Amino acid sequence: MEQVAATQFGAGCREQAVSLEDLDAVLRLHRLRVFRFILVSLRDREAAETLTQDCFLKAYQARERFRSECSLETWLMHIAVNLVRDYARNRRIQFWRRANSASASADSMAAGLPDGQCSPEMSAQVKQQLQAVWSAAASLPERQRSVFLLRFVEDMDLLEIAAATGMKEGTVKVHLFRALRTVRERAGGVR
Amino acid sequence: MNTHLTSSQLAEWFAGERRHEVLDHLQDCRACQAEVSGFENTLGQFRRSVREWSGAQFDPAAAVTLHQTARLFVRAGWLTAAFAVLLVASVTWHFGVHKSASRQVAVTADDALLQQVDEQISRTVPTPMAPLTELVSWDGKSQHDSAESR
Repeated sequence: MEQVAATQFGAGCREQAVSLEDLDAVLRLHRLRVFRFILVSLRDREAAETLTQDCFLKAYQARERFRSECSLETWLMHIAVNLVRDYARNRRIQFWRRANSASASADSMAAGLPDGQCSPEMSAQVKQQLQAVWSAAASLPERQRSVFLLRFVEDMDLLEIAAATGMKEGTVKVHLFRALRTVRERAGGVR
Repeated sequence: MNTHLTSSQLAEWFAGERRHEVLDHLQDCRACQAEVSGFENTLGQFRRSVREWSGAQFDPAAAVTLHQTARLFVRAGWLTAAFAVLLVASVTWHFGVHKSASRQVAVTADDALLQQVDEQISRTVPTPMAPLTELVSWDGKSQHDSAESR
């Protein structure tokens, strides 16, 4: 898929800190973040490793087309979002099998939480809510999930998400609102 | 205040939009405050746990492989370019040699033809009549007889 190449980005983008020519520095700064987004989106470590490599290779190969209209980080996330989308489309059946069995991942993820700060009951409640959020995030439609993860895991603002996903800001809002509604419903927070 | 924040208003708040009416309501309504802080806390826990979980699965050594692969791509690019130049050069040379060889053959063929034409023109008697000139002389004797008489 060649739609991952540099495309138009809106305003709100920052200056890039490092050049793509310095691949060592780029990897050092951004690899964990790209890997994390792909891993949480796919819940598959091997696929996440492969797609992370693909992401940086595509960025490196297309570095001439990167015009600094947005931050390097946002550009890399844009490539990562497209890779995840293509991967999910190509392997839809396997993906949804994994998504349906996400409760196991939720258990392992919630098990790693520090629970010394509160009572056992409180800790159990927090873990339960986390499992609910984790499962809800896995069951979201692909665009909603990407927007949700970019906002609440990667701390990106709406303009950055719009640049990374290639959507308009209004569309990002709609997807985010829907994702939040679903997640709150699952976590038991909707009136 | 009788009504609480709607689901849409809460979603806007969690998405990062700060409206005055929502802020005013949150200052007065303890139920909505609890709702907002509870879900924000859950999202914060979700963020931390995802980062810890993915950090534990992160392999920094894979970056070395990636770097090598990228370098390989660059080298492969140069190699491909060099190969293309060699290919073009060899094709050009081949066609050049072939052309000069065929030109040489053509020149030789032309020379042979010209020589043949010269021979034909230089003859006083046409080729089909040549045997007759060997047998008959203008004085009525055959060449054979004249040779014997000598």
